[in-house]
Amino acid sequence: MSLEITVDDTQAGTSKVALSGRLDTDTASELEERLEAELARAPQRLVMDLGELHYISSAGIRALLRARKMVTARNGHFLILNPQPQVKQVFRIVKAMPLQEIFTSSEDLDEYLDTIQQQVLDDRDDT
Amino acid sequence: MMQQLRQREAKIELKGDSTALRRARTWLDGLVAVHGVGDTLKAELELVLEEALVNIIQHGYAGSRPGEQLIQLRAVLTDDELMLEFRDHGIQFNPLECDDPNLDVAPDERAIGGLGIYLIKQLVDGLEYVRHDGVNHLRVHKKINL
Repeated sequence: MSLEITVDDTQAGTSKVALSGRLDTDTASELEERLEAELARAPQRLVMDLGELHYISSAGIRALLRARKMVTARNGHFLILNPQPQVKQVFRIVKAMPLQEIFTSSEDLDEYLDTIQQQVLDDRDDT
Repeated sequence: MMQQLRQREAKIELKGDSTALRRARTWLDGLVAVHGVGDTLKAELELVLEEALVNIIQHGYAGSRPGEQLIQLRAVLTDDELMLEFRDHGIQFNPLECDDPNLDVAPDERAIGGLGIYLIKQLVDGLEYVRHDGVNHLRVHKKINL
């Protein structure tokens, strides 16, 4: 089983990248390339949907952290959706992601995205 | 009469090329499948295998050609433990002396590295390293309940 990457950027400002399979030493560079291309569009929010990702190794963690760094460097949001048990375990051991950036359901995530969208609008009103 | 302990031993030799990880994983999966190891434990074993193997190829054998990167794996599986041994001729590297990454630093500020060895240390029940005749011997022990 290798890695399948599905990108959805139909929503303005948000890129959703769904991963299926294994994110390991053999597949991490594939993801890095896709994410770099996606980040060139400068989305404000990058959502990594990990619902079908069943395995991650340190190479996969590094690929995610690199993308996270690029997104947060321009004050964007890097969010994780629905990590599965093995992935959650590895995240926990290496403290890879702040817990507030991990969502277990798309409803919770959408609600959060609405909130930050609203904050952006409010900030605009203030200026 | 004493009940005989089930024990199974297997070996594989790998070159450090792009097929190494896949071949090693197929070998390990086949070995533990016979013993009916559960998915969680299997994933942990696969992770330990990947991190140790990749560390040898990328660091121990850094600068040498894949054809010169010989790695010997040996597994001994008993009723309650899997022992995995990695042997290579790369540079001397004792993971037990390797500093743990500082995980209290925010992910953005952290040096991206050292996570693989740290994962191994967290996931195994025992780790031994010996350098003998120019060969690194790394042994990991993992308890299994079958």
